Amino acid sequence: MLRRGPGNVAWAGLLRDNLRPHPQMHFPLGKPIVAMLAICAVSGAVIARHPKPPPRDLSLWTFADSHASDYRKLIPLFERASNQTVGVHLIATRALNVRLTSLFMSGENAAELADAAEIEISSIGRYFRPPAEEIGFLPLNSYLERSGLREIRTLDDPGKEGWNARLVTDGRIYTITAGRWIHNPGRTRPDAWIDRILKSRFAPWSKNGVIYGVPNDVHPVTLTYRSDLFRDAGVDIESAKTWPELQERCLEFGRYWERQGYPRRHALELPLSSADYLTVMLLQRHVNLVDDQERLHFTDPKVASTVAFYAGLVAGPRKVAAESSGGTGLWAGDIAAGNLCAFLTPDWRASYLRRYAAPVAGKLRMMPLPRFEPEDAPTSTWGGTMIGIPRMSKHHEQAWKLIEFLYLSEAALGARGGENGVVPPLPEAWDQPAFQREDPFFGGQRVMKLYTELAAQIPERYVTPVSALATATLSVVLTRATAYIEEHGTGGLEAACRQWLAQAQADVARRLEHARFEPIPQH
Amino acid sequence: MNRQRAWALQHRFAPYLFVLPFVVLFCVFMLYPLCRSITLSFQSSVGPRMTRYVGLRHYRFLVRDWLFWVSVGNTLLYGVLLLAVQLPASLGLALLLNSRRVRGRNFFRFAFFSTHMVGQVFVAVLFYVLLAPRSGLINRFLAAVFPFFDVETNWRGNPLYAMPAIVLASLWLSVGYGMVYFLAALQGVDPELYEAADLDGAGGWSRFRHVTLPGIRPIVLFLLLIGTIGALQLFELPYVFFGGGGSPFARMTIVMYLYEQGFESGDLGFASAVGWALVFLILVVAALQLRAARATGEV
Repeated sequence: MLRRGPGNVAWAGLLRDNLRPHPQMHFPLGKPIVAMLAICAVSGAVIARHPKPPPRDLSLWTFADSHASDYRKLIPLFERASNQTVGVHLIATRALNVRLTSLFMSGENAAELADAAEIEISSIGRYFRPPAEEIGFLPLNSYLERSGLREIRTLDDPGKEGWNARLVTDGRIYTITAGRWIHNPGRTRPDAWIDRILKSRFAPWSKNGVIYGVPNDVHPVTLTYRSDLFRDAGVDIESAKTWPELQERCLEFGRYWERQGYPRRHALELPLSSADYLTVMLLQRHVNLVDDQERLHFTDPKVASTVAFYAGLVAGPRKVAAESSGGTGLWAGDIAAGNLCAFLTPDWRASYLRRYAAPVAGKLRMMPLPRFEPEDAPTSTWGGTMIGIPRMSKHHEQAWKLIEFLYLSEAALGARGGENGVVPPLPEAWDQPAFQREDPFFGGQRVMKLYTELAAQIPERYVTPVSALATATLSVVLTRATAYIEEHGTGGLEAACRQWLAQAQADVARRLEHARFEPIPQH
Repeated sequence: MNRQRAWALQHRFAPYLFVLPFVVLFCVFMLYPLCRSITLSFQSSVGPRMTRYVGLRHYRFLVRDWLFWVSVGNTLLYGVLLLAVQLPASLGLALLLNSRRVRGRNFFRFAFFSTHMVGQVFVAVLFYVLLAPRSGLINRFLAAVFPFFDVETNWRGNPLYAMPAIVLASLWLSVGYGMVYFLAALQGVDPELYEAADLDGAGGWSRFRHVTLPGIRPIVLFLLLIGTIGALQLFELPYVFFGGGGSPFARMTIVMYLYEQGFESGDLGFASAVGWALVFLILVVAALQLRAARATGEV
């Protein structure tokens, strides 16, 4: 009952107006609003009734759908062996990074925090900005040193030169010397994961010698080409052992197809203004624009010569390269149509070819990268993923067991080499049959074997908080170099590049200094 | 007596209670972050727990940073190019679809406006494919119509074409939006003014210049102001379209610069300083526009 009072007069009026029976009842805001409210109510009810997934003991975040599908197949095995349940969450790369960095920055021990998270190589730099002891990931050196210990049952067990193992029967350490296991009293422990995993692949995931992630891959790079089109042109591309020789072969190729009426058939795929591929070439020459000590190397003479050479590949009278139309599908379409006939191919790109470029099955071949100088590597590295444990996770030990299982167990290594065609960073796994098979997609060539042979020679790649900025700055220099070639030709280009690179180095140094949060390391 | 006092209190405090939810939400999610960002802009940080007071260092760095000025230049160029094409195109469409002689006007009005409903990310993905070298529909069309146009033109990779590509995509998104406002404004112009103009012997252009244009001036000003502020906040479209790669010369806008500092580099303090520089820029541009409008008697 409403009682009359100074404040309730308006209430009473409102109620009277709204509750009075109308001859024709209608909703004052209109039918669309009623419909929307009804939809909200129904969908809300459906969501409320939807059963929540059971809570899991461990939570894994990944950005790659191929990884997620592999893990979902493998995890039942882990769950049975460990008596732990695991939830795999597939989260888009950008979303994963924003969520994880926000959680790390806030310092909140949020319930939804991952116990293990995969990070892509282009994203890891941002996580390394805080001082080492404040980085959001747990240092893994001690885990890598005390697990994955190599054991042998007898002295007849197989092994490779330099391996150290504990003989199960006597507990002593033996080392393979001249093909035989010899007792090694000078060695205190057998090989652990830190010795067994390819050393160069720890580089991107480390800061000041502290390792924050276990590498998933090696991603060696080859040059893949359309063997049918090069054969038709009478060009033996594999005879090119250096980049300048390759440019000559590509010019021959272009001239042939232009005569045949295909002026848009390009020998090489290289972008005009993005420095991503240029960075791959620099790594091949063992140049990181920013090294692990955050020293800058723009003024290394190799950088100027590589930029000038690259600019000559994509612009000017001796141009042999063109850009892909776009993402993976368009890129594969360009290859199938014969628009782009040779391209840098890390192992993950080879699996994309198998998936998206079916029309060229049997028409592709691979070769090691040509070099600039004899001391360059015959390969490079492009891309990468690590898995790490957030410090704030409450299940460090269990998370480590999960990482060991998903990254380093035999079942996991078999899956990675088989379906995904990704070379794992564990050299002893490269002898598995999956890495020895002939590949019909590449005309019967043993491409995984080629990848594993090159994997041992990949250069070290470092990632720092300013690595992305350094690559963007190199893109600016590349853009200037291609514009220079179009205007003035190649005369004086390298000298001009040196000048631009010196400016770029000064600019990045200034940014590095401004962004630095910790004391400058003493070099 | 007590009951009367209770009613009096209710009468006095009821309005405050009604606005309380908004005030609380506004303070927690708007006012506090705004104030916090001011203090953050004077700090270097790797998260709220780790900050270091740096005074005006971020602002000093900002005004000397060529990349910031490139991003300001790109953003202003985008705004000028977009508004220079968008406003006349929207007005032209509105005039066309306001005419009784056009059949299916409602369908066309919806069709032109519908592009605005899909959002910038969708448009970026769409134009990524439409403007692809060789296979993109726009490239193929332009090469078929203009023989000198190279079908391999890379709109995303070539710094010369990058901004026109973004403007093109934005036009597709926003011309219909402007059209709706102009339609509403055109329908608000007093028909008697047209009749009077007819009696005075005014032609089509004179009617437009002396009757239509003065009638829709407030909407022109409104669209100019909203368009300028939107242009200064440009982010999603180039961010998705360019994918973060390539030369920053062509693709960098002020908000992209802010995002890269805050979320890629992780320096929320510097990003806050960029944010406040953007606020200042928006205020200056808006004030200049309002002043120009006052000078011409539009407000």
